[in-house]
Order: sequence, then C-alpha cells, then structure tokens
Amino acid sequence: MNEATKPKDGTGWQLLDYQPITNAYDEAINASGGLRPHWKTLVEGLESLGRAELDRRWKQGLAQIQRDGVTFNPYDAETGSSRPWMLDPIPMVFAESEWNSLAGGIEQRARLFEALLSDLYGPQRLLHERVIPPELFYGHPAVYPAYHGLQSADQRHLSLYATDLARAGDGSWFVTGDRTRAPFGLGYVLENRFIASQIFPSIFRRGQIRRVASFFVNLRKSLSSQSFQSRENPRIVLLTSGPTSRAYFEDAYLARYMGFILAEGGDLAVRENHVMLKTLGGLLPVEVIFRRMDDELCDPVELSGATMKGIAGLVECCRQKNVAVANSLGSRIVESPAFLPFLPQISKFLLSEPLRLPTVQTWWCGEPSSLQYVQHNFDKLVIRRAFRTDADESALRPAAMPAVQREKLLGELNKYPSRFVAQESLVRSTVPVWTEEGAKPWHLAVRSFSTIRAESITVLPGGLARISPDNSRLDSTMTSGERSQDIWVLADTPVKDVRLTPLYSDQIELRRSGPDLPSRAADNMFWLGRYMGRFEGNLRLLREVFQLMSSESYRNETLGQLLRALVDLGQIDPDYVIKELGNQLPNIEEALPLAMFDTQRERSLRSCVQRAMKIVDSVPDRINPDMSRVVRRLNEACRMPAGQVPSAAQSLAMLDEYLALILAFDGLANESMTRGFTWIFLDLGLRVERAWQMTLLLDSTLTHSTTEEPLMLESLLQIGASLMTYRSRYLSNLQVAPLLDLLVCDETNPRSIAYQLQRIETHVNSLPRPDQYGVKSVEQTMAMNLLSQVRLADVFELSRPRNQRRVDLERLLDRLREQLPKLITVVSGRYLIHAGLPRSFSVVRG
Amino acid sequence: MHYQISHITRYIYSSPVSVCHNILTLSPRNSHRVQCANHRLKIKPIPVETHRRTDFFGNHLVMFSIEENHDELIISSQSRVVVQDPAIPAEMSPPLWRDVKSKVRDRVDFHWLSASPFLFDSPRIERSEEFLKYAMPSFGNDTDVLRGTLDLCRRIYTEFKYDATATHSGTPTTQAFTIRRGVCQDFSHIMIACLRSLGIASRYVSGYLRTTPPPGQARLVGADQSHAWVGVYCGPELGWIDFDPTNNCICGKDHIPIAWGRDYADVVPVRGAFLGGGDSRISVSVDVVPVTDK
Repeated sequence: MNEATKPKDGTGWQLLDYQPITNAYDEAINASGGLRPHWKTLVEGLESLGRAELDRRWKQGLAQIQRDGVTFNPYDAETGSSRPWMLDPIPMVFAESEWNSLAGGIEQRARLFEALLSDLYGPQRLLHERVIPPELFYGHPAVYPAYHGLQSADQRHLSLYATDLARAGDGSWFVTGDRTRAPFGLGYVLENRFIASQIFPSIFRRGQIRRVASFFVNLRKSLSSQSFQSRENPRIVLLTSGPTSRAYFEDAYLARYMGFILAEGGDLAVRENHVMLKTLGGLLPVEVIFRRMDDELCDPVELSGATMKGIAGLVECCRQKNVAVANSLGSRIVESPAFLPFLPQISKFLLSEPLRLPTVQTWWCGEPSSLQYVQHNFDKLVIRRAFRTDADESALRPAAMPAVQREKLLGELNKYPSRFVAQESLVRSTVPVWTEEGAKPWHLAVRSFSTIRAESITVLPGGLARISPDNSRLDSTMTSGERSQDIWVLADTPVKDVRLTPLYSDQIELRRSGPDLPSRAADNMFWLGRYMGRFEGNLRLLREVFQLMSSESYRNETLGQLLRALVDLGQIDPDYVIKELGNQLPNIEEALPLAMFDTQRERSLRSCVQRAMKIVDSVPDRINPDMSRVVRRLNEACRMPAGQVPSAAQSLAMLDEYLALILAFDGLANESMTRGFTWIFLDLGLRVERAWQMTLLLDSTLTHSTTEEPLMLESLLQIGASLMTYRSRYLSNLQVAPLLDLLVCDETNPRSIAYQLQRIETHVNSLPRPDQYGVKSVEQTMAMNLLSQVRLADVFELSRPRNQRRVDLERLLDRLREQLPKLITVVSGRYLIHAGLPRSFSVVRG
Repeated sequence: MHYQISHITRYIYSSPVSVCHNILTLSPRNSHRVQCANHRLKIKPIPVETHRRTDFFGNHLVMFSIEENHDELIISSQSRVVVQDPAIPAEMSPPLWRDVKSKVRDRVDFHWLSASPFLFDSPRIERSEEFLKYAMPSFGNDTDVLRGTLDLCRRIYTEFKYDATATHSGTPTTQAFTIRRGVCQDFSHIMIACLRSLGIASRYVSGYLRTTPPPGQARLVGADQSHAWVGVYCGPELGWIDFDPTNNCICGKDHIPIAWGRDYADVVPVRGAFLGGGDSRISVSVDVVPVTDK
C-alpha cells in the first residue's frame, strides 16, 4: 500500500483496500499501486466524511431526487422505476489537462459530423469524389428523400452531439460511437451533479470542479440562434415522444430545467406553413423545435406514416424557413456504425485535418476485404448492425453466443454483409465504485456532450459515466450498465461559481399567469380533477354502505336504496337491485370489495386512480410534486389486498385510508397551486364531478319517498360530509326540506350542488375568450342558467311527495343531468379539444 | 403520340375535415421520351397554401394545405403530353448484365452516381437471397442485360396471377412474392427487388397506360387506371429502359410516365394527413385519351 492511500483515522476506511484488477487500466490507482494525483482531493473528501456519513448523504440525495418528482414510474409499469441506473456516490475524476486534450478531440469530432451532414444533404462531394461508398448513404434504411436540401448552407445540423468513449489498457481513449439524433443522458448529468454536490459540498465550494451549468446556457443559445425570427427569446418547444417512451423522464426534466415547453405531436399543429402550439388562448407560433423524437416520426405526411405521433406538415414548414428543428431532420443517419471506419478519410477530405481521437477498430462488412477479416476473426469481435434504425440496438459477441445462434449470425453476415459491422473488443478501464464490501473496480463507459453554435463548440466538462462490473455489458445499449457516476474535471485554478438554477434569472419577465397552457395539459388537469372527484364521491358512498352492512341495525331498505345509487354510479352490476336476481348473485358483502378494485369496471375506485396516475405521469411538468406523490401513494394503496376478500370492517379501514389521501390532495390543490389555468381546469373537473355525483345520488335515493326516510337522510348527510353542519343547525330532527337546502341550495356549503355550480360559473367566466366584450359566450350562459335554476328552487316544493314521488325534485335533477354534460361538451370543444390526432389518406391503386 | 389525361381524385367524408396537408405527385415530368405540354391542377376547396417543388428524384410535387371545414375534397389533374417510343438502336449489342453491374459497383460507369439511389434497399423493397434465387435463371453468365430483364419480366408475367383482391397498397413485397399474386404495384416491386438483389439499378415508375377498347366498342370514360412499371439501368449507351411486368413488354408509346422513385412510397399520387372526417370514401377516375393531330 502506498503512502498516499494509507488510512489516516485508523478506522479501516474501505476505499483504501481498493484493489484494481490486473488486466485493465485503473482510473484512480497507477500501475505501481499509488493513487493518481488528481484523485487526491476526492479521496481526502471521502476520508473526512467517513463511511457512515457518505452513506447517509448519498441516500439523502437519492431521496431528494425522488421527492422532487424527478423520477417517476411510467403508468404501464405498476412497480419498479424507469430509471436505468442508480447513481454511485463516488465520482469519476479527470485531471484538467487530460480532459482538455480529450475535449479538443471531441470538439473536432463535433465539427466533423456537422460537416459530414452538410455534405451528405448538400453537394455530396464525399460521394462524387469516391471518399465513401454510396451504399453508406443510399443504402441507409432511415434516409428519406425529403431530407435532401432541407437545410440551407448557413443552418446548423447539430445543436447537441454526444460521443461515447472508452479507455483502453494502455491509457489511451477511444471513441466507441457517436450520437447525432437526440442524445440521451443530459438529464442524468444534471441529476448526478446535483446529488454529488450534496455529498461533497465543500469540494464544490472551494471551486475545484469545473461547472456544467454554462454548457446548458450554450445549448440554449445554440437552439435560440437557429430561429429564423427572433434570436433573442424565441418560443422553443421540446418535442417528446410522450410518457410511454424511455426518454420521457429526461425530456420532462430538461424541459423544466431549460424553460422550454414540453410538447407532444398532438400539442402542435401546422397552420399556413407555421408550426403552432395549441394553447388555451389559441394558437401560438413556435420558432424552434428541440426534438427528442426519431427523425422519420416527426412528420407523417412527408416522412414515415407509420405513426401519427409527429406534426403533419412539419417538413414543409422547415423548407419554408418558418421553423427550425434541432437536431436537423435526417441527422440521425451519420450515427450509424457503418460510418466509423471511414471517418479518418472523411476528416482529411472535409476538414483537411487528421482525426485526433481514434475510433475503436471497426470493419464494415460491405467491403470485401473487411468481410474477409471479420469471417476469420469472428469470435474475437463484437458484431453490430451497420445502420442504426432503432435507438436501442445491442451488440453481439459471437464468442459468448450459443453455437446455434452464432451460426445463424454468421450465416446472416455472409448473406447480407453490408448490414453488419464488427468492432474490436476493448477491455475498458476501471473506477472505484461504492459497494456493500467497500470500493470495488468496475468498468467505465463515458458519454460526453457537445453543443455547436455558429463557429464555436462547447464540450460539457465531464459527462455521464456508466459503470458495470461486467465489461461486455457496457457495449450493449446506452441504458445498459448498473450505475452511473458524476464526472469531475478537477480544475487547476478555482472556477467561478455558476448556479445550476435558475438558469435565466436575469432574463425572466415577471408574469402571474399566461394563456399559453397547452390545451392538452388543460385537458389533462380537467380530467385529473374529474377522476379525483369521482373517486372521492364513490368512496364516500361505498364507505356508508360498508358502515351499514357492518352495523348492528342492518337497515334493509336504506341499504337497498344505496345499492341502487351504487348501480347508478356504475359501481356494481344492476342485477343487485332486482330482488329476484339479487339472490342468485354472489353475496354483496363479497362482491363489493371485488368491484372496488375491478379494473374492467370503468368507474371503479381502482380504475379512477389508475387514470389519475396516468395523467400525473403524462404532465409531470404541470403538477406539483407533492400532489403527484399523493396520487402515487393512492395508486399504491388502492389495490386488492393479497389473500382473502377483505371483510366489511377491513374494507372500511382501507376506505378511510384512501379518504385521508384524497383530503391531502384537495388540501394541496387549494393551498399550494397558484390560481392560474392549471388550477382552474383541475378545480373545474372536480366541481363538475361533485355536482354530477350529488345529482345522481339524490336522484336514486330521494325522488321516491319511503318509510325509512330518516335513516336514509342520515346516510345521505354522511355521504355528503354534511352531517355535522346539519346537526348544528337542526339537531337530530331529520327532514327532507332542510336536507335538500343543505345539499342542493346552500351556497355556503362546499358540498352542495349550488356551491359547485357557482364555482363552475366563476371558472367559466375567467377562461380566455377571443372577444372580451359584448355578449356572453354560450358556456357562460349555460353555467349561469344552471346556477339560477338551483338558486330559484324552493326546497319545500322540492321535498313534497305526490303519490310517493317528488316530482319537482325529479324535474330539477333531470335538468341538471341533462345540462351539465352539455356545458362540459361546449367547454371541451372550445378549450380542450382543438383537434384529435391526424390520420393518413387512404389510397387507391392501379 | 399526344394524350389528354384526366385524373380526378375525390374524397368524401361523413363528418367535416378541419385541416389537411397533402402532397401530390401528379404532374408529368419531362424526359427523353415524354414532353409535358400543359398541366393544370384544380383543388376544391381552394387551398390556403400551395407550393410546387421538385423532389430529390426530379419529380414535380405540389404541396397544399386546406384549413377550412370541408366534407369533400376534389383534386382534378389535367395533363397534355407527347410520348415517344424508346429508341433502342437495332444494330447495337446490349452490354452483359454482369458488366453493367460491376461498372456501377466499381464506380467507373459514367452514370454510377445517378444510378446509386436505385441500387439498395428502400422503404418497400429489401434485397434478399430469395429474390436473387428467383432472378438467377434469367441471368446466365453471358446474358445481356436487355434479354435477361425481358426474361425476368416474362416469368413474372406468367408465374404471377393478376388479382386485385389478393393485395392492397400496403402489402409487403415479400408477401405478394410468396402468394404469387397482386397488381402492377406488387409486380413492379418484385421485379425491382430481384434486379437490385442481382446488383442492377432499377426504379419504380408511376404513370398511366392507354387502354384500347375491344373492337367495335367505345372507350369507357373514367375506366382507365394509374399504372406502374420498372425502369432499369442498362449501361451508359442504353441508359434507363422501362419494362412492364404486368403486360410483359418494354414500355412504348402507350406508357405515359409521371414520376419515378425507389419504390411506391416515393411517388404516391396523393398522400397526406387530415383531422376529423369520420368515415371517408375515395373514388378515382382516370381518362387517357389519345389526341389526333389536327
């Protein structure tokens, strides 16, 4: 053991037992066993923390990320996280001088790929002069003729470019691949840096680590500079493939961090050859699209019609120079491994420079001599598809494959050689990684990021480190590897502190709210409100039913009527309220808990919460993280317990737990949301649902008078959360008229129908209208009309039965049932559904 | 030969379409044997944006958008063209197919670069060993490129059954190949797949075919159809020659090309996307009328 690594506190600090493996270069320990000097700062930092404190800070950092709602589970994965890696607390460290020379090579490569794209979609000198074989371009399955000439010579192809690097045994760095489409990983860089700065605040305070924040400033400038209109502050949207895509977490995170609007294809529309963002206030022009979607999916008209996720007509808008797309459409093709063997001659031809950073040896089998080499050395090599069409393509190792599969691969390769490349297999360098048994050497893959603007290229100091105990796993996909690490470039001189957030504090205009809430986001908030409201209403009704079933005085008639309400609200099968059929069905006490969790039933508790969860996941940038956490917890809790069907008492306990969560959600909605359109639509959904539920409940329970009425009234007040108020006003004298006053007409009771309608009217009045003067809009008139019908109702008239029927009540409730959905349709039509998804023309052929 | 061509496409929607974006590949392009004297396009409702451009392959496209509610879209394309027979000099001996292939591959043929886009896989056509096996019997070691291609054309004509119900416009080429059935689009794709698997550059040509009514009967108005065939690169002297596998012939004055590309996907006559519309119905009426010189 070397002097520099000897324990100082005598506690047996585990990093010091760190033993690199023999056949790889180690980043921290040199060949003679000594600590490399640029790791000294970190090792000292670790020592001063001690094992327990390091663990504590690390877990705290991870938990904070979780709390911020940065990580999320996609709704289709009921358990587990969508994060590909966990962050390791130990960072990877670079000496500044070494990094600078590496960054010089990366910068050259960024310039090279920019020049390569300009040539391929422009003059094609590389083809004319026979520098590259034509199959590399024309044989690429992802090339669309529409890409050709789409960019003028003064436009950039790449705003963001990534290089994958590995260090070989002799200590030299090799490029293993390039990414030119929409490189993945920047969000993780930010997140890793955030946690690392929490673990080692003093090292960061001393200014010893090169900051990453300025890179994002440059990336933003690069995107802004692409705009054809205002280069100062253009409207930039980040185009995502949506919540089902693997990159969605990162898309949402980057959008929020950089202040871009997160948009799916459906949020954007083309009008008069301009791309417009659909918002509540109407259509707003978009100047720059930072796309995270595959090139060919961006426009179903001119590119692949396979999905309708993109923006119909986008390519023509680009051609007319009305919108800029970054990275350019078609940029993905050059990230194919088939280009790798040709890069040295491309560099000489286009840049008149030798390629500074070597690429790991690659053979494109489309060339006879390369094919021959690969056939003879098959088991020593890694085989990849020559043309990347899938973002997540894995590498194959013939030596590690079962004989049958190996033969099959070799057969494919002999038959269609140009579809394959082979690469040298590299033993990657190792870094210390924090494990249960202390620091252990794992293999390292580095992804670096560059952004290009005008003539200047910025390389992010550091990048994303992926690590794995298994060397070969890192060759596969970008998301492979067990963990990630922050990368530190240790500065020789203290760096200036650049704060991570806010990024643009000096440029932000003060605003209280804005109409540029995308219609889709408004639609999602409205439905979130409805699902949560529906969940609560049904829950309160179910709770009362279980209460009745488990109480001593089993009140048959009241229970029967509440079951009818459950039927009307879509909670159980209608057969339960038909006496003759009811007897043949399974016992209601067993069927009810099953129905609560039945995902086949559209309005069951489980279905409501599942949909709410789906919405929370699809608009993470709009929902307060605390609120999404409550929905997440509800989603976890509201499931059929394993084992036996819960008893009435058990069900009751579960419902109480859900109710507490719902109340937490309501509280957050009221106390921690600004009264902008996001809140208005959430509350509108909630109010509509409450009014609707109460209407249906009264309709199925009170329109026919019965002998057991007082008991029924008590149940209704319980469900309407108004029993206490009633008792404080009328003691225990239960009558229909005062109950109707409290649950229907009393605008001071937040549970009454009148209260909901009054809120709905206020919300509808505050929605943006193209014409702020003159007559009221249709929806305003409808909302006012609904409210006045309730206001004008006489509760004594309503409560009077004629032949055991309360005709006036029935009439009022019928009108509400009829008009409320109409109001929703009008509001949706104006504000929420600007349009559905586009479709393709069908064709007739000869 | 002079022709007056009318191609009317009509979409009828059960509920209004609010927006549509379209690309038309309906204007005839000029070539050594076709001159377009006049082309007129009428679109109803009148588009808010119309823009003409030439695509990567040199085809004339019209892009248009409609942004008003409509429940019917009519695209009427009227062309006047002059078509000549391909001039294949009788005294010329066509090159061997192997020589055509290797000269393009080795980038020594005068037109190697312009032939390159048509040598490899494309959205609808993937080269494969199966297509190569099918093509080989027509291309012996010493077969010239014309004879080989004509023989392949004849075999597709005889071994495949014309059956409009067996395939649709999205049927994969390999499937039509397996069931040995299809229409002009399928036969052309299959023939191109065979030729490219051999290493011969070939392209998909869309256009019209003049039909001759049975003797004694009048021409039926609107009964003609769009048609498709295959252009094959036959070396620098012969250049590109068109073959029609659906009718087993070298294309002559009856074949009127509109556009060409790597496969059908590059030259779809009407493509686009629309919002709304409910159920849609489409009807197409094509008339190819020979015009006698006055």
